[in-house]
Amino acid sequence: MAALNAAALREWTPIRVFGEARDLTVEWAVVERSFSDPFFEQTAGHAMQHPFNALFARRTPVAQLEALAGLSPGVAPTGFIFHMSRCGSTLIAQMLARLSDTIVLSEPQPFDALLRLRRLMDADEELAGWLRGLMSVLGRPRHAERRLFVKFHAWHVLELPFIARVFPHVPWIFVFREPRAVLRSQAREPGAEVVFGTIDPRLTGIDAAAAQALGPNAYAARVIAAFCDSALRCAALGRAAFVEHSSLPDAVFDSLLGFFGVGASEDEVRRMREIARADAKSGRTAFAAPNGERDPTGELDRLAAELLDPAYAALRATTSR
Amino acid sequence: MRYAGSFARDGEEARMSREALDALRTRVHDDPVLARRLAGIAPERFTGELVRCAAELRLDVTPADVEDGIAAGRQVWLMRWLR
Repeated sequence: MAALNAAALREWTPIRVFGEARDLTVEWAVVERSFSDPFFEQTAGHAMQHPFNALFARRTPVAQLEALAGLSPGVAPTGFIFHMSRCGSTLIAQMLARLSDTIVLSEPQPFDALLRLRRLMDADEELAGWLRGLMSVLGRPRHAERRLFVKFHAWHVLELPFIARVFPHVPWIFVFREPRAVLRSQAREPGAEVVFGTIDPRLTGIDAAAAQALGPNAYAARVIAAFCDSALRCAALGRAAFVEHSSLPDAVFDSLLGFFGVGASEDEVRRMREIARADAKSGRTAFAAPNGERDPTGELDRLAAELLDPAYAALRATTSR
Repeated sequence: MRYAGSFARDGEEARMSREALDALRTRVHDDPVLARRLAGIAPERFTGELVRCAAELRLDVTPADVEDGIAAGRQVWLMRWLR
């Protein structure tokens, strides 16, 4: 392996991790704009459209991340956002991205790639080193930032015990919502996390053969229930807070900024309120619970009652303590 | 996609240009100031300015190879889901 030249990588950002478990590669690009898009992939994709990155994007072995973190450390993470999907977590990330001096990484592919390997590699310490390295490198200030938030993919809450072990001092939140609304949204437009085969069903406690026999709505409900159960089981790990969708966007100002130890100026509050008035993912329509989604067979209601209502009640109870 | 006229370039001249582009890539990867400068070029002016920059470094890179390299890089990025 060539000697690591940390100075030469100063201007470069890891945008993708790929390859086989023991032969992982990091792809780097020069990313001009800040990570303020609703999703990391959008900012990375925009960067890769520039002819410079198409021509000069570079690759390094993943093991160099850890060494690079030591040579060129980034901002320590300020907070993590976990969620059950379709519950306002992107809105929170977008609001936090309106704070000055703040990096917000929303569902970054490199973390997803490494976390997917955990069950394949059986090498937690090695993986932990890579994750710390990746966090440090992605947190390097490019515009004098001093805060770093990461919004994880919904399924990453299943790895929360591991993530909390790797980053023990980082406060985290779990965002949740009335389950029928989540199931209706997923039934209308399924996210990757509830499509069979995108995550190992064993992570959710569902036997693979049994999972295949489930219909899409039943599978989605079981997966989302596993997300909520995992968050509840981890409530005592580090500093945690639970945030209900119905409390947004006010909860960001009323409690979340304080929970994360962030003070916001009047201008920052104005920018956050502005983005809260738009849909966080499309930037077009007003932020509100979607209306008119129907459940003509009553299947979603039955699934919610059977699989999600108990967790929802427990999650709500955490917010009233 | 190949840059107009690039099919006519073959043999020694094309090989030297590609080697020059590889040498330029190494320079860019080793020099963060150069990387930052080139990454800041507006996309529509990129090929011309890159060729000029290469010439300053005594590297004879052709517009055709720059365009071919960009097209190949974009293709790799688009195909990333298939690996």
